[in-house]
Amino acid sequence: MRIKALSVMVSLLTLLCGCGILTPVEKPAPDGRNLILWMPGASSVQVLADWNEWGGSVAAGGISNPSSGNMTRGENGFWTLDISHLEGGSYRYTFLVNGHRWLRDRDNPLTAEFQGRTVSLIMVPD
Amino acid sequence: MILLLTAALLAGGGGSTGPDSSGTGLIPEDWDFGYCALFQANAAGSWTDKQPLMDSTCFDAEFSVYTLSREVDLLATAVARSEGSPEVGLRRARASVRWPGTPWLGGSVHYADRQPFIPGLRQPVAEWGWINADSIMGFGVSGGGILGFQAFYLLQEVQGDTLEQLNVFSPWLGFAGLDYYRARLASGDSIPGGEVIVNALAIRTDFRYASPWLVITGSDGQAGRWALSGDIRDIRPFETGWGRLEVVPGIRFAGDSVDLVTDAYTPGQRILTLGTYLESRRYMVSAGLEGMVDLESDSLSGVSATAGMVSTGGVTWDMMLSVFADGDYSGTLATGISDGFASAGMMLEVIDDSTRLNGTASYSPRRDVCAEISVAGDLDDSLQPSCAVAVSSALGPVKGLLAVDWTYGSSPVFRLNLRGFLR
Repeated sequence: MRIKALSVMVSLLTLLCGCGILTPVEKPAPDGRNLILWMPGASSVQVLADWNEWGGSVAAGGISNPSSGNMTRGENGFWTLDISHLEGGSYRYTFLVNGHRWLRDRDNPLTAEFQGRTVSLIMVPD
Repeated sequence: MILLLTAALLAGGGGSTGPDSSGTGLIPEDWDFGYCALFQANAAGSWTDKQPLMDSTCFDAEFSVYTLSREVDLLATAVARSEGSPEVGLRRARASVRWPGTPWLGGSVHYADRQPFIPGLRQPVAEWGWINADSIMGFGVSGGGILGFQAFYLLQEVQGDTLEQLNVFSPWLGFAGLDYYRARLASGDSIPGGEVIVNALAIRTDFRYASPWLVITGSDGQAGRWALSGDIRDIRPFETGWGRLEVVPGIRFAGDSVDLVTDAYTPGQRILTLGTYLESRRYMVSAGLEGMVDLESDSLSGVSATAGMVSTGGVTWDMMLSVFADGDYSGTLATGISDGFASAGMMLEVIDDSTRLNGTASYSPRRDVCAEISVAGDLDDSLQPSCAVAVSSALGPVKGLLAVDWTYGSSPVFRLNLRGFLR
């Protein structure tokens, strides 16, 4: 019975991998220090982070600047943002998709908290 | 003074953007002069008794003028805001000068432009909003250059209280980099004891095969007002061109009165952590497994896991799971499929005895417009269904959002948000 269940699971995994469902896609820019998000249907994606005062939302006035941390739409649905200017230290960030939906970075296993939400954390070496 | 500065900038720049090529105004040729405007309009209301009912409206417009050169940095931001009653005023301003040829020597006067924030290791020592940014004004001096060190000192007034900030940053010393932060808020009445002092020293080292990072927090040696957090990074038992596996041991210790200094720790905290992270250089996949042992109580002991992937079939996976020693647990599993125009997804969220299922779908008729619908419900007897519809656009410099949220047992709530940035 166990062998039968195991063979069904292996067959299912093989089928899913064959369909590409469990085969990871290649990054568009593997070199350099970039944040990358795959979101082909999004109208806009911003990065809200400690380094840009969360898009201005924690600065005086509290207005979220729609041009702050704008990611660049690339080929095949990838959005990228160059963060090579960051100096050494820990920074929290999140993706703001379509101006209202917060999304953690799936490509980064480190997480932290900001205003009760789970966001991503990047530790930049000097 | 600031208003005069604004007027001088406008008169000198003649409303041009970029370098003043004519050089005929107050702005010299090598100064970059510009202006920008930021506006936001919000409206929110509900649908009650078959009629729309407006609850709130807000309009906020900022206009900034700035000039920047190697020696001078000037900024003034005026605001017109209407939320109930209209108000016009100065939102932010700064004027800073740097010694010619030595940019690390200088001074500045600022209004609502330098709010205190002290980063930590996983959580900040002093979080944004610790002091309201709108009420800070003062001056600062910067120095450095000796062996690459830089220092900033700010003396500010915050609604009658005095806020001092001192930041010192070292260059990379070959094996370590140091950042020191100090904030002192002194008050006669509003703060018990008269003052709050936060010191933080961040140490990042690199010993090739291991990189200890430490953050030491304290309050001028007062008993119990200290904290220490540390991670040993860059221990990589597996590293190839595909990616790497990193093991990160860590500690979080804090004194019994640390909450008088920072909210980043709980008093008396004694925690050991061990994290294992898989990151790929070439592929969109990552995973993490973290274990935490609370030496004081079992309330924070537990295990958490995260994983994420984008597959070649256009399917995304995102998983988070936390299980604590006291029996509490929570987790989310989200998956979706997408192409250039349409997407659909599903998220299962589990928090202890509650399980909630969320389904989403979106359609983008063109690249800068996206319509989304989200339906959620509890997988138990209560169901508690909810629905959200949103249409967002990013037309040039203007972003718009129209959203309607409905939760079972309450009236639908609609929101309209327009934001624009013009330069």
